[in-house]
Amino acid sequence: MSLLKRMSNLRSRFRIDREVKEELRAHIEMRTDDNIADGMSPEDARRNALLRFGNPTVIREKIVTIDTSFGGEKLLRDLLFAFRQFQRHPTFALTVVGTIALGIGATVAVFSVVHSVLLRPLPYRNPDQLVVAYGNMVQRSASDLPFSSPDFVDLKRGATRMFEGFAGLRTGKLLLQRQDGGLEQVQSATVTTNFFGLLGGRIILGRDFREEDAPPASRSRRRHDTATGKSKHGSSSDSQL
Amino acid sequence: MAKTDLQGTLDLLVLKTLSQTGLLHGYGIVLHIQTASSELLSVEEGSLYPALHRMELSGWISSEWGLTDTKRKAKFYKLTAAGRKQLQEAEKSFEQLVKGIRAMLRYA
Repeated sequence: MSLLKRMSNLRSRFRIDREVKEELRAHIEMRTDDNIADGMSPEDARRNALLRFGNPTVIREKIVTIDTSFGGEKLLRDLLFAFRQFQRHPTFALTVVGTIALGIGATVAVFSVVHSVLLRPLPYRNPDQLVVAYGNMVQRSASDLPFSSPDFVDLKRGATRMFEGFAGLRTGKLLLQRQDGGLEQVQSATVTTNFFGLLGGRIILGRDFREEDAPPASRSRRRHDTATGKSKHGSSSDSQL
Repeated sequence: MAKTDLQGTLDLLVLKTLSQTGLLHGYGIVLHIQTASSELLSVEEGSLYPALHRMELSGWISSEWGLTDTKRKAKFYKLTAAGRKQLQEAEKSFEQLVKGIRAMLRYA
């Protein structure tokens, strides 16, 4: 019996049970009819039919047991057969196992890359609307350049109909002096005051920047110096984004 | 050594009945076994159905719903090709069993 048939058997367990019930009932009724034809009273005929038949519930349970044991027994036999074949041809078995293992491994590896690079949404607010803007110097064929502050302000003011907002970000590394006098290198970022608000970052410690925090020169840009006692604020916010 | 046991005997009776009658429901099989054995053999009526179910799962018989002469809905069974083969084997194995038992009884 094929695996498919076994599964469909499982699915139609209720139907089988109903059919069995009906089949047994038909048997008892036919016996009753014959008994009546032989001259018994209807009550005697039915009692006699039931007596000859035995307990229908017990019979039904027996049938269900056969059904399940049959599937299991066959499956076990298939498995044992497969196992014996493997023992008889170990090279073949190892080749098969190796092929399947490699296949599974490769699939998992490719999928985890695709998942993290393509499928998983970025952990920011409205990740599908997020773009990265870079500067280009076409004539010098230099690309991926940072914006100068005036260029950034122009971009921010000029693109308000296309974008909700622009925030500036420059990442780097800083040396921090610890309490005990040792030095520690930390990841740092210089961001514009609207950065966390735009990306939907959650401030864990301290407060978000306000527009007034920016230096008056550009009014929208502020160096966030992690060395000035806000290192916790800065680094924890970084890890949020 | 013959592998016939009591269960095998019931299988043999059912297979033989179906090979003789073609299409028959469970109650009809019970009646046929009684008549054909000159009332010497009587099948425990209820216990026939687990056997029928097992034989159907083994692919020896197949079933379909139909109407009896008295217009009653019943499940009719018939022999499959595999069932025919099984019947031959069961008959052979039963002959051996009988021969063996007879020899055993005559041994003095």
